[in-house]
Amino acid sequence: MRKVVLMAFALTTLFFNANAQDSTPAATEEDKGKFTFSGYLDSYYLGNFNKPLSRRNTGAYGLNEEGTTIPGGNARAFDYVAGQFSLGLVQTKAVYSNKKSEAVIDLTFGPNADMGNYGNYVGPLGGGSTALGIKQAYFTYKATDKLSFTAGQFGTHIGYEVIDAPINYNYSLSNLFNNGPFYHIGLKGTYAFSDKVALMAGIVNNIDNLNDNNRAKAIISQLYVQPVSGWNVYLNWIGSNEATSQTTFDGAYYSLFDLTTSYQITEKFFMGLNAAMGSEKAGSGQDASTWGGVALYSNVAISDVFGLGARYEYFDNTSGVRGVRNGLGAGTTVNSVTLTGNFTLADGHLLIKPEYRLDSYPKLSGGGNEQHQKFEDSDGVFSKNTQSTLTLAFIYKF
Amino acid sequence: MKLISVHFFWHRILLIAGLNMILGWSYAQSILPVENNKIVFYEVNSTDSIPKELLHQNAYNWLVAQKFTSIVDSLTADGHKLTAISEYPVYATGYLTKRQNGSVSYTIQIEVKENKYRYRLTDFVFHYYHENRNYQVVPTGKIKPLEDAKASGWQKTWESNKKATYVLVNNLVADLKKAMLYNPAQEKVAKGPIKEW
Repeated sequence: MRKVVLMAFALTTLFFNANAQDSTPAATEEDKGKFTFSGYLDSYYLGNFNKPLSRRNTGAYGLNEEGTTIPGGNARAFDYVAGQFSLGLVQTKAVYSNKKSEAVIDLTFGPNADMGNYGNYVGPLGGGSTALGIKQAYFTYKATDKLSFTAGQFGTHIGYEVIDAPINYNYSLSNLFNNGPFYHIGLKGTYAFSDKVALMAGIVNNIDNLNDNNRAKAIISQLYVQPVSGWNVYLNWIGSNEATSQTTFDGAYYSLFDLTTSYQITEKFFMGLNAAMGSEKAGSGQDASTWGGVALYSNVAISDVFGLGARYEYFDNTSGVRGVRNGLGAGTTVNSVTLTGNFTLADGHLLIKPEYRLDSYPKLSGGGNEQHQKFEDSDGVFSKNTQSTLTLAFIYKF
Repeated sequence: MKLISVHFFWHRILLIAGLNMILGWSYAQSILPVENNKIVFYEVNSTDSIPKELLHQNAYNWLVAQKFTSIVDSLTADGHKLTAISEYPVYATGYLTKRQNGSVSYTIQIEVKENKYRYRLTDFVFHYYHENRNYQVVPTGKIKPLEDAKASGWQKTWESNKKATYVLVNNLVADLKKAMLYNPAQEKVAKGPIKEW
């Protein structure tokens, strides 16, 4: 009994001593730490001018055994369904940070969360496991003012657009986004040479997967440069063996170079550019197939309440290594134009985005291919090589 | 009778709401001192027996301690003039926690002469921030003079940013006034008994 009392006394003394040290005047706000809870939810109504019978905007997947073009392509990343109100994503994000560290727990739910986290269904509990709700979960240790280390699951450094609807200007997502990585699990270090130059390098399992495909690890890197105030340039790269049953690094090697840059040219006018070039080998001894694309972004703030933005994108998957394919299931190219209005209301909490998008694929002709275009008409026939959609998106962030 | 009282009730509600809006808006506007359509915090202060050299040193030390940048020190006909710039974050209030929505930059000018000094804080400019694709809150490059009365769509946050400016500048000025009175000669006298003999 006496030992227990003495132990309790020692622990209590230790606790109060530690607390007394924490409350010294020298401890700044930053030292004490800061907790932030934020998130968003989004929903939308999408109309498709082709009136596809399947009500899917994703276009053709390819041919079935009977030689008929079937739906199930990936012409759109998240906004799959036409002619209905749809729920996008619900996010709850908790961030704790202090002078030396930061922890981020970013949980997402809903249809877009499932699609953004598609590699996670191979979690320990199988499909629908709790791992599916984790968009990001990582912590950063700030070793010095210039050097930091991050471990856990984090959003990819590749690309211009992100899963989070409030951050993107356009509501629908680009083909570059849809055909690039979404997230990685691993460890990375960032060294900031100055406010204008930083270098990141890391080791991750692979691309978009809770578990690694094999024993080989992927390498990620990013060089950040700010040539002038308001102009940001990111040069990104990832190299990964995506083979599923091989242990050598010579398997299905995936490499992706990416340039993401943005510049606030005037107080009202903004421009951005994303360009990527990727290659992937199907296996040992095989040649790599390539894909790539470029997207140009601009927006103008007409007032604090309303802005207008445009995106033009060209994506080339002629090799067929990625998911952008025509009605025959072969690799193809696509041109896309997106015009987005952006209303900011309720003290910045509510974003309303009306958006028009046109996707144009090469028209197939001859040999009966008129019925094997990318997009479906109201009779369920794939007779359209273009698709126009009109979306009204509602985003609430807090 | 019931209809009349319901009608009267809603009239009163609307009137109170309208007055609240007008008073709230004018309060945010009025708390920041305006001179020729610019926000200016200005005051002349006299000090007892503090020479201009010491006032100059106190002002310079204070600017450095407060992490002001671009400090320019110049001579005037009868003293010194120091100018510098600084910036502070401002926040939008969330439902549970606050988030940085921007920063406000401003310039400060401190002039000293024998036994007196004056300060002038002006050029308050709001810099818009947003969350970038790496989830960092960074400047967008867009700016807005803090003198602007209206911020369509985010008026409440705009007014709260102005109130934050008022509180911050008043605290800053109080600290400046304290720092300017520092006089090592008087400190020695005021120390009282010492252990050495």
